[in-house]
Amino acid sequence: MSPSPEGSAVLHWLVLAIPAAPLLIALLLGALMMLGRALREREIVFLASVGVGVSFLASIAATFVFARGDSHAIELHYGQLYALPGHVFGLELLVDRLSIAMVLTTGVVTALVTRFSIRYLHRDPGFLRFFVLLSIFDAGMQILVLAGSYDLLFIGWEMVGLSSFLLVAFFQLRNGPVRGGLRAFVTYRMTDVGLLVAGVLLHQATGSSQLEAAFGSGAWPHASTHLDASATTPIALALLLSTIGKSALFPASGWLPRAMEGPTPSSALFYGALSVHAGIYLLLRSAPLFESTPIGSVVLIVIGALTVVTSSLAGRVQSDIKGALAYATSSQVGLMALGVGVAALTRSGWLAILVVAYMVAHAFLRTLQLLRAPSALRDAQEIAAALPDVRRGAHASSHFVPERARELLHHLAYHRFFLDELLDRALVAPTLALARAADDLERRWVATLAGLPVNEQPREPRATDAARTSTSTAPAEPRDAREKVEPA
Amino acid sequence: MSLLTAIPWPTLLVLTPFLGGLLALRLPDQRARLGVGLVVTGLVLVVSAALAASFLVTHDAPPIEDLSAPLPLVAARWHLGIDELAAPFLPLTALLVVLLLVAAPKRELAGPMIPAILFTEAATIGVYTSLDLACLALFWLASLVPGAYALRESIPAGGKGRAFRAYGVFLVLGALPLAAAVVWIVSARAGSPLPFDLTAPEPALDPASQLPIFFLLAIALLVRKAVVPFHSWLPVLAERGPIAITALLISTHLGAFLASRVMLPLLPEASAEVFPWIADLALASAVYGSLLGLAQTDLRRMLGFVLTSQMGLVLVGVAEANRESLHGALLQMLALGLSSTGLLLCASQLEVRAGTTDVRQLGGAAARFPFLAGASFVLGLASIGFPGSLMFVSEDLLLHGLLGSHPIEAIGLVIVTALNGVTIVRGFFLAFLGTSRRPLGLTVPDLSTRERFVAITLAAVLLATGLTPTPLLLARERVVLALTRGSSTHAVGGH
Repeated sequence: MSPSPEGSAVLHWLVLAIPAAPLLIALLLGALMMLGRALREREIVFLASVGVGVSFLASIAATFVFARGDSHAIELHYGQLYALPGHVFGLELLVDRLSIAMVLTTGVVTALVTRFSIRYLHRDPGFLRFFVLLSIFDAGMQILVLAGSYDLLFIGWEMVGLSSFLLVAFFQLRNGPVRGGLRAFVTYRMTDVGLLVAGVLLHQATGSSQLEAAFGSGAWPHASTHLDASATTPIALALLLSTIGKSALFPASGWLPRAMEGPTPSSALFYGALSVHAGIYLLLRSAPLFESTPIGSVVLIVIGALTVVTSSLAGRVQSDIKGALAYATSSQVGLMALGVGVAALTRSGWLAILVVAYMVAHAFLRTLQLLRAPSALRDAQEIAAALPDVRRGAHASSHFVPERARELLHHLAYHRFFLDELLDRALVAPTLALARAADDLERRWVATLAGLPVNEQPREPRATDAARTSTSTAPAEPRDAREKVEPA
Repeated sequence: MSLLTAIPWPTLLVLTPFLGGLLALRLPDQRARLGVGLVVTGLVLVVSAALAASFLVTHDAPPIEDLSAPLPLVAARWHLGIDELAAPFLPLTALLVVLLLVAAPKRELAGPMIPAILFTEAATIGVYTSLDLACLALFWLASLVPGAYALRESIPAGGKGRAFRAYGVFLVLGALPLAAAVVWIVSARAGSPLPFDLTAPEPALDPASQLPIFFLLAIALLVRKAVVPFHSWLPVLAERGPIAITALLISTHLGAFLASRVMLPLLPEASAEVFPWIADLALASAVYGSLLGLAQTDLRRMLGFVLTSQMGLVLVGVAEANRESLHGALLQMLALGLSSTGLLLCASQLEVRAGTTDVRQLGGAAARFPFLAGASFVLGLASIGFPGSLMFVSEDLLLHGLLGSHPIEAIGLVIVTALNGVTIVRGFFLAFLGTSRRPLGLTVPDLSTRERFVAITLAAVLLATGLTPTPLLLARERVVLALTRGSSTHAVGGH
C-alpha cells in the first residue's frame, strides 16, 4: 500500500475536505442552534449546501485524481487524536477502489437528497435540526468509508448512528417516531459493542487497529491477512454483530420498518441508500478476515440467507409502501451479506466487486423509490391506467407450495416472523425483570437502613421539597419558575 | 519559579474557600452569600488553573509544596503540595463549584447550602493536596461533615430522611476505617520520624503489615466510590439529596484519588495482591449499576445508578494499574466529574420546571424547553462516551488497558458502557420527546442565560478536551509511570 507521492499531495487536501466540510457546517449549525440563534431557512439551506456541496465536489475530484494515479491504495495521515508510547489513536484515511466507490455514492446521493429536502421540509419547525443531522450524517458516513483504522471507522459509525436514530425520532411530538428512534438506538448501541470489541481484539492481535496492519500488503479486493483463524474468527463474528444491527439483518431487522417514521428524505438517504449499507461496507472492508475464517464466512452466509427469506416474505404483507420498501431493502442487503460470505469462502475478488456494484446500484434505485413513496398511490394508479388489461394473477408459488405451508408462511410473514417478540422475550424482558428485581431489593435494603417499614410504598418528599407545602395534582407550575428568569 | 515557591499556594487554595464559607455563614442575605461564594471560588479557579497550567507546560516540574514542622507527639505535619496527580483536579473542583453556584436552582442553594458547599470545596482541595496521611484523613472527614449538616437541615419537617440516613451510615461510617488506618500506620512504622509522610514512604512497610492497612483504606475507598455493596448512598443522594452537595461529592472522585495517592505507592505489595480482586468487584458493581439504571423511572435515581456504574469503571482502571488503564481512569475522573455535574444540574432544572423527574409523568418537554433538551442531550452524549468527548478517549484507554490482561472483563466494560448509553438516551427520549403526559405550566420559561452559559461551558470543555487530550495525558505520564512501576515491580501475583 505504498502511496504515490504526486497523488498523495493533491489527494491529501481533497480527501480531507470530503468529511471536513459537512463536519464543520454541522458544528457551526449545531452551535448556532445551541446558542438559540434564529436562522432563516435560506441561511440554513446555504450553509448546509456549502457543506454537502464541497464534500460532493471534492469526492468527484478525488475520484478523478485517484483514477488517474497508478496506485490502488493510498493511505493519508492527518495526525492523531492522542498518542501514548505504544498506543496511538491515529487519524488515517484510506483511498482505494472500495472506499472511492462509496465516497462517490455518498457524495452524490447526499447532495441529491439535500436538494430534495429543502422543499420537502419547507416551514417545518425542525428545519434547522434536520440539516444539522444531515450534515453530521454526511460527515460520519464519509469518515466511515474513508477510515484507515477500525478506531476511526467506529467514530464515523457512531456519527451515522446518532443522526440515524435522531432522524427516526424527528417528528418528536408523536410517540410512534420516538419509540422507533429508541428501538433503532438500542439495537445500534447493543450491536456496536461488536465493532468496538473487534477493533480492540485486532489491536491486541496486531498491535494496531489500522487496516494496513491487519491486512498487510495488497489493495482491496486482493488484500489478505497474516492472522490465523483462531485470531480472526472472534473478530469476524464481532464485526458481524455490528453489521446485523446497522444493516438490519436477521434477527435484528425489526427496527428498519419502524425507522420509516422519520422524514421521507432521511429514510431514503439512510435506509435506502447509505446507512443500511454501512454494515455491508464493513464486511467488504474486512473481507480478508472472513476469508481466513470459514466459520465466520458460513455464519455470515446463514445470516444473509435467513434475512433474505424472512424480510422478503414479511415485505410482501406490509400494508404501507415505506414498510414494504424497508423490508425489500433488508432482503437485498441480506443478499449482499450472503454474497460477501460466498466471496470470502471462495476467495473470489470478482464476486466482491460484484457486491460493490450491486450495493451502489441498489442505493440509487432505493433512494428513488423511497423519495417517490409519498406519491405511491398516484404512481400505482398511473401504471394501472397505462396497463388496463393486466390482472392480478395467483402468485407463482401457488403451483408448487402446498396450501397449508403458504398459510403458515403468510402467518409468519404477517407477524414479521415474530423476530421482535423473540428478541424482546429472550433478551429484553429477562434483563428488565432482573433489573427490576434488583431494584426492588435495593429499595428494601435502603428502607431497612433508614428504619422504615420495608413495604412502605408512598414516596417520601425530597430533601429540597421543604419549601413546598402542597401536594396538589394541579398542572405543575413550579414555585420558583419566575425566579429563573431573574438576572443572576 | 520564585513566585511558585514564595507564596504558600496549596494552603491558600484550601483557606480561601474555607474563609469564604465562614464569611458566608455570617451573611444573612442569600444574594450576598452567593456573591461571596462566586468571588472566592472564582479566585481559587483562576489560581489553581494557572498552577495546573504550569504542569501542562513542563512535564517534570517539581511539586509546589507547603511544609510545617511536625507536631510533637503525633508526628503529623501540615504538608500540602500540588503535583501532576493533583493539579488537574483543583481547577476542576473550583469550576464545578462555580457552575453549581451559577446554575443550581435557587431553592437548592437556600439556607446553609452555600457555606456547606464552600467548606466541602475547601476540604476536597485539602484531600487533593495533602502529602501527609493524617492531613488527608482529616480533610477526608471534613469533606463529609458539611454535606451531612446541610442534608439534615434541608429535610422537611416530618420527613423521614432516607437520604440522610443512607449518607450518614455509608459516608460517615465509611470514613472511620480511614482514621483507623492512620492509627495503624503509626504502629506499623514505629520509629519513623514522619510515619504519615506520603512523599518519601521510608522505611517501607513490610508486606505483612500492609494488608490490614490496605483493607481499612479499601473500605473507605469502596464506600466513597459507591462500589456494591457499599453503594446505596449514591442513588438515594442523587434522587433526593441537595443537588450541589451531591454533585460535588460524586464528581470529585476522592476514592480513586485515595487509591492512586496512598494505596498504590504506600502499599505496593498489598495493592498487587488485592487490587485485582477489587477490580473485579468494581466491574461487578459497574454491571449492577448499569442493570439497575435500566429499571428506573425517575431521572435522578436513574442517573444515580449510571454514576454508580461509571464510578465502578474508574476504579477498575485504577485497580488494574497498568499504563493505559491508569491514564484512562484519571481522564475518566475528569470527564465524569464534568458530565455528571452537568446531567445532575439538567435533571434538577427539569424538576423545578416540570415538578417531577419521573419519566412516567413527563414526555414532550423538548417542545417547551428546547434548550434544556439540547443541553441534556449533548451532556448525555458526552457522558456515554460519544466520539469527540473526553469520555470517548478515557473509555478507549480503559478498554485497551483492560483487554491486554483481562479480555473477559474488557467485554464486560463494553457491555456496561452500552447499557449506560441505552439508559441515558432512553431517559432523554421518555422525558423530552413524544407526547406530554402532564401539562406543563404555560408561564414556565426555558433555561435562563446563566443556565445556558453553564451548559455550554461544560459541553465546550468536554469537547475541547476530548478533541485534544494529549496535553492532559502527557502531563500525567510521569505519575502514571510511577504508579505502574510501583505495582509491577512488587507484583506478587494477581489472577
